[in-house]
Amino acid sequence: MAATDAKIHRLEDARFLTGAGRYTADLPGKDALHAYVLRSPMAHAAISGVDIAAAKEMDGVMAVFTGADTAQLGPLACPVEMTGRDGKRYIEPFRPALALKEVKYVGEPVALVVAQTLAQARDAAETIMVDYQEKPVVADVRRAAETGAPAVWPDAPDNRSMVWEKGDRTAMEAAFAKAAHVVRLQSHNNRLVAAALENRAAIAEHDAASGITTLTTPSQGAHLLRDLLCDKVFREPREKLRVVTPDVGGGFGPKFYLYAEHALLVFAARQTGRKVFWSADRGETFISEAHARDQFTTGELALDQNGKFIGLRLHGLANLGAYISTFSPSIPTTGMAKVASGLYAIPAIHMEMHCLFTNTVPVDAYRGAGKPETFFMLERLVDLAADKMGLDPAELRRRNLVQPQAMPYRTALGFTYDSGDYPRLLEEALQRAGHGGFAARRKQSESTGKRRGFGLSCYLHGTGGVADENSKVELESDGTVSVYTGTQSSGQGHETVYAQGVAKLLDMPLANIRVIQGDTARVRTGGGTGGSSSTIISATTIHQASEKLIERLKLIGAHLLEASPADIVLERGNLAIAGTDRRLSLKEVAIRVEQNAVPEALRGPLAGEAKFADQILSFPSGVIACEVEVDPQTGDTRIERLVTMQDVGTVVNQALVDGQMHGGIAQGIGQAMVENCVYDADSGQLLTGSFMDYGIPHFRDLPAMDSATFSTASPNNRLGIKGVGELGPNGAPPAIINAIVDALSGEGVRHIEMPATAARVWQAIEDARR
Amino acid sequence: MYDFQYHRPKSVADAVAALKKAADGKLIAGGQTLLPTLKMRLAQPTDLVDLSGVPELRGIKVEGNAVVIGAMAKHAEVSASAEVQKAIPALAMLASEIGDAQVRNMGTLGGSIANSDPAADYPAAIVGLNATIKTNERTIAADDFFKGIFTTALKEGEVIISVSFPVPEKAAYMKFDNPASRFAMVGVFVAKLAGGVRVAVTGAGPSVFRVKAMEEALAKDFSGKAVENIKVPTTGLNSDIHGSAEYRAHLVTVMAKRAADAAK
Ligand SMILES: Cc1cc2nc3c(=O)[nH]c(=O)nc-3n(C[C@H](O)[C@H](O)[C@H](O)COP(=O)(O)OP(=O)(O)OC[C@H]3O[C@@H](n4cnc5c(N)ncnc54)[C@H](O)[C@@H]3O)c2cc1C
Repeated sequence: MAATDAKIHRLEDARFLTGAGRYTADLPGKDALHAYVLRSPMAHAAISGVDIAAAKEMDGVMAVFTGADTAQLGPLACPVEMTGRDGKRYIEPFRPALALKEVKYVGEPVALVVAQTLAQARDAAETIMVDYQEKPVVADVRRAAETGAPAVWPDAPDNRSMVWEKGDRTAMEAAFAKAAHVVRLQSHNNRLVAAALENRAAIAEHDAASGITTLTTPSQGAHLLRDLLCDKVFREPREKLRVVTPDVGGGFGPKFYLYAEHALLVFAARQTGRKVFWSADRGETFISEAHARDQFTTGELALDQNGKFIGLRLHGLANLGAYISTFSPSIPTTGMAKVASGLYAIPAIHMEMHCLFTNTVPVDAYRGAGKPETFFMLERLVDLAADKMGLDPAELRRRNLVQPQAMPYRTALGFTYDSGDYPRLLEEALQRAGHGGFAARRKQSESTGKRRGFGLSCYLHGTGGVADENSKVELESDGTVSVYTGTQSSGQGHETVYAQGVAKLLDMPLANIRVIQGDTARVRTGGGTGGSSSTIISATTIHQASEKLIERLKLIGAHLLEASPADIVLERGNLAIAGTDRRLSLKEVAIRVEQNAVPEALRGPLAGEAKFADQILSFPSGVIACEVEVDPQTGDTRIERLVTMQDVGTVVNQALVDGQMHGGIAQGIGQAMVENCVYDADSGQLLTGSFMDYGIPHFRDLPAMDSATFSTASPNNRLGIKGVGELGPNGAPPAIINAIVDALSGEGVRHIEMPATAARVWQAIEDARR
Repeated sequence: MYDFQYHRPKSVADAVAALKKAADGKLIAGGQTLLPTLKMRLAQPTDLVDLSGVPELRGIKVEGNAVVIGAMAKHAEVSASAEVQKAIPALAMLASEIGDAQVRNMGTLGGSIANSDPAADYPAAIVGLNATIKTNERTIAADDFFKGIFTTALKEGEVIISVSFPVPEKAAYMKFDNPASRFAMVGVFVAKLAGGVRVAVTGAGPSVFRVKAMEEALAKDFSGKAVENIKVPTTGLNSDIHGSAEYRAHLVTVMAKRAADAAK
């Protein structure tokens, strides 16, 4: 298959689908010790003592560590630098690897037991006596925001880490003062877990001779973990730690972050001098991996008499959990602000976000990261406004879309949309969804006692992340090419897309290109993967590096083939003199260079290296049209149609774009319809600690999705790429809820909170009838 | 999981003997409920007596006007059984809707009813069809078997051998899934039997229960219409993060109506 074919199958799939993938938990080997983390069963308590005497004497136990042992370590610190409206940095409590004098959420690590087997470690952990003195708990974000609520941290007044504002409040207030129509919605964006297939895990091994510890762990970027561990936790030179990430079974955000277990495993390996292995089970994942969303927001949209949006106000309470996780301050703030204008021209926008502590697992970015929260509010407001004005929701959107000729468009909050054709997205989505035939289908559903609704969502993403990228493309002596990059696949298919770019430039088969990622010893720098920007970051930099390699190869080719460099071309894995049959395979070239058959100046590694030199920001956009059928007797809701039109800039691989849309929409359907993390408000116990209580969409809940793409290239990077990864969860939830509310508008239902389970849908109908 | 002694007897008698000898022995059938409990260290039996090697507990056969199903019959076997599909299609259908394929390939009839999960499906069929449970000691009538949440009439060391399901004139089971576990939020089994009409409800209460008012209405007129306005009281019904008692009570009526209409 040609390397330029946009529907190329993923190179990594054969490995993943035949069980040949190598995940961290496959790797410890028989000689590793097993670690077990004893976690707090209390949501908020002081610790007056931890008795490990019995545990230390148990069979097979090699070490037991408590907060006293790890007290010398630095914090699991947050690298985000930002300030609130008072000009001060957000409040960041010291987050220890093991609890010191208090615990702040159920699941917080209290002790680490290292033993020869996991069963022995667990047996020993059961004998550890911890003296807890319970303290008042606050788990609900609205409660946390109230004056007089229990304090999570004495140093954070009113439980606020930060109050953050953005936009022109005066302009926004002026818009509302002259508005012909105002709609308002208060809504809780439901708390979620990422539920990746692979639970977190780690293996640490210390090499006494070199003094280097190797931490093998699934991640979304090995370098970030290494840097935080060395700079903040162990306060040592970065050379002391090597972080390796093998295959990763799903990231979605939470695998990016620094967790206590990373620090603890490195610590334990150094203390015991042995290889130590830990893997979370599913229950542990629920109470230890970063949660997501959990934001209570009030939104208001002001419109003039023609239905033009003139002002938007967002006032939110964001639950950050008990500690600040790696990226969390940026999510309910800049993460939202980037896209607050949606696909619309809104002249005045103001946001006020309160970032709150609660006695719950830390909350951080999960696929979407602030955008799903924004679009749920915005797109619900638009439907409420259409309802209020008696307009077709599609028509109201049409009147407000940013027009293609207005591109690049600067939003009221100062972000510049790079390119796009939003009216085309909307019209094509309506067309593909058969919007014209909806009335007839609704009648049909009603004849069987069902209700049918149509819902839209117009949305986008602002790509972000960390572009600490130095890509290297190197010709090996066997004629194959190694590509080194600092982004990290957790299943997306990076090995395929990155290889595609190289294959195209070097005109060689994909199979001869290997992508190397996830190893701080082999890849010099890397910002990891997050913010839907990996292809922007890596593909553009690899492109530059490939060009540098090609330049070098041409000089060498010119020498070996005795021609001018300008006449040398790369052709099917050969260097050739254009228009002749004189050629040398890349393998021969590599061998000749190795044998120093070229002048001094041309010797050395056959590599091209480059630094990221483009802009990371782009605004992929989309419209989702969704049709649902509701059984009003039970509330049972089926998604009958789901059409997604998106503009992701240049498409490198259509199959991967579609796969990203399918998976992302499945997660969006999860948030809209079944997923919900629930804490008991009084005790802070997680009530949804397993899949028995945390709903997750099943295959049969998902519709056949119609995903279609067109491209307006991004001017922000040399390849015209925009991100795609987070579009689905950004756009799907409001489209679905809009469709459900539309279906039930006849019953008087005006809003439904997520997840719209059958029970909630039925209750909404009941409440509307009363 | 804590350590335990493992036994794999070849007969019911040997299984009973192994249980008797153990300080705190437990039977294991498909392990779909017991194994997760052990893995989470929520139980610590000294001995596990595996019933998978006992031939007496296997098989599905028609005996007179009843289908007799061995305690170790897997959900997948019951749903795929030609005998069950022919005699009591509602029972085959019920088994096909339990859990997922992996669970159906391991989980058993005996394990399910011995466990008496309030949201399990089989209890609705046992009570709805007025089945008889045969153990190594006695036979137990359906109405006497389920005693409450996770409790049954089974005594220490008593082993379920088989269940005899009378073949109904017609029957149907309507299940409304819990959105997370996919067990029954509410499941209603409706059957017209030689001895009368039965309506058995699972998922809604602490244990399976009958709705007499619906049974009487259906005895007069076996149709959905006959029950569509019969409400069950909400007192004592389950109420949790997945659904209120009111919702469950409402679903009982809707599912009963649909089951009556679907019965064949
Ligand atoms: C993911 C998942 C989804 C599920 N979904 C559903 C669902 O939708 N509906 C549903 O009804 N169930 C569901 N189940 C439960 C499933 O049906 C179990 O198989 C069943 O509850 C127990 O059967 P088992 O054979 O696995 O029993 P085990 O787990 O082996 O045993 C359960 C209990 O029964 C006892 N026992 C077993 N056999 C006998 C016997 N012959 N005599 C006396 N005592 C005995 C054991 O000692 C133990 O206490 C689900 C389970 C899982 C894991």
